[in-house]
Amino acid sequence: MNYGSRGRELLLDLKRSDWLPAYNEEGVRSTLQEINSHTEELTVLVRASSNRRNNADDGAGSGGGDGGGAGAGPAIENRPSLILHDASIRRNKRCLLAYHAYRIDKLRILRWETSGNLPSTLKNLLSESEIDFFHEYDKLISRYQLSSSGPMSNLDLNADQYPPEENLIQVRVVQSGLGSIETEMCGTVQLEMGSMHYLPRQDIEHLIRGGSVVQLSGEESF
Amino acid sequence: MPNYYDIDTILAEEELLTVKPKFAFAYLSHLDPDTHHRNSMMSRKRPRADETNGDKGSSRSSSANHNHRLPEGTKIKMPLWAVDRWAMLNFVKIPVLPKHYRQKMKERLEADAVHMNLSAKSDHYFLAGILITNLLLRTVHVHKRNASSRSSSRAAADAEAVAMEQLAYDARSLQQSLLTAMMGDRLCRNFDWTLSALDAMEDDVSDWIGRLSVLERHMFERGVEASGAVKTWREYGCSRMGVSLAVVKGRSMGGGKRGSVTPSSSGSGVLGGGGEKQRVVTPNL
Repeated sequence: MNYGSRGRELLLDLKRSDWLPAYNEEGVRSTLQEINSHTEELTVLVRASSNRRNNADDGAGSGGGDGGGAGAGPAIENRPSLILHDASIRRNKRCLLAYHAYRIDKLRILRWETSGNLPSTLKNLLSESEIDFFHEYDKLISRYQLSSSGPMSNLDLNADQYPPEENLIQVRVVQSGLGSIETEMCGTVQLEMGSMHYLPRQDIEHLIRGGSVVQLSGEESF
Repeated sequence: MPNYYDIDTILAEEELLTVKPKFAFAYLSHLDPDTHHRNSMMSRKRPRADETNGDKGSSRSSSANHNHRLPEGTKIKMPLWAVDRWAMLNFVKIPVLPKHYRQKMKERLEADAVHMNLSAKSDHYFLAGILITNLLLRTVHVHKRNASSRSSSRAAADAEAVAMEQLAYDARSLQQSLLTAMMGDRLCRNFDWTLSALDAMEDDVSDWIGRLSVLERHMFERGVEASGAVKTWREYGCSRMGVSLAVVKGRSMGGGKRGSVTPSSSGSGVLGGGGEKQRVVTPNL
């Protein structure tokens, strides 16, 4: 019988990856199965123990059974195995919760880093529920932003936190298939692979964070 | 207190500790392969006495066999998370610490902590050590609290008290050793190496990283991030925006297929100040 091994494998899977591994549905299922088998074992042992105690009580009259005493719980020699099964159930539960909590935290950070744009390369690593969570979390932040009033109403929560040094920045496009972008100052700009542009910072920020364009310093220009 | 969800703490609790049952543990002979083999041989020779009176239990699980007892005093190695409750309830004795936490190792750490390869002993050397000292001190505390209520003989009580004192001494000594090793020259050398880590041409840090425990590796990585941030700030000030780390790492794992960015369903294109302005990115057809 395995004691907490399935949960451990899930966590080792997380530690081995740089960011997140693909959602391990099989691992989660087998951990739940292990929990169920421990629960069944526990039930069998408790039933066996109480049957033995009842038989001992019937045989010995009102005297104590094999060490436990009438109504005092399972016999002392049976308690370690009960405790071990219980500990294994809690252990696997903790591993499952930690696994999911870790992944959810990473998704929250990702949302702030990419302003709610989920890269398709990362989408393949997530389960359906996690993708839903990402979008729902993004909606929550957007709703909060829209509902804020007073001095907070003009605040763009997705903007870079460091104060900008210039309004317009130079960028190079490093990803194909981006199409075009409409900006307030520069109109419509075609983002072709390898092209360089001088664009308003606030319009291009989310693409820089998503890795589609790269910001250049002055020395790197044409 | 360690975080319930912290993965390193959970993995550190897998550290094996040698314990001896104080009485026979029923249904747990499989924890000691020799005992389990002996019990299996014996039960094959004897007719099976079905303890569960014809219930379906005995056929469902081999451990329901009444003969599968783990004898008192058998040495077994169990992970910390499994032993914790047993130790609190005084079901087991803890005769020795794991080999890499004993006197010899402490002396080696005292002599030269910097060059010790701790990851070869245990990946979570410091974390597991902290958990073990925690367990030992709690065991001693619980034992002292319950000592008066136990009805054992005077000699047994004295022997138990001596054992607990020894345990407490071992725990405190281990605590001191871990603290000295973690916070001394080893930490200084760790941070020194973080300054060189970014410049792969100058210094190769792989040998150093290979010697570190998980805790030290986290410190090293934070130090490298800080060095890199200072370097970037010196060169570009605050004007340079970086790519999301998650996107970079995810690309290296996700097969390198560069799809287009999926815009979110609401609101991320809203600019502050005076009405809504959408940033439109139309894909190439």
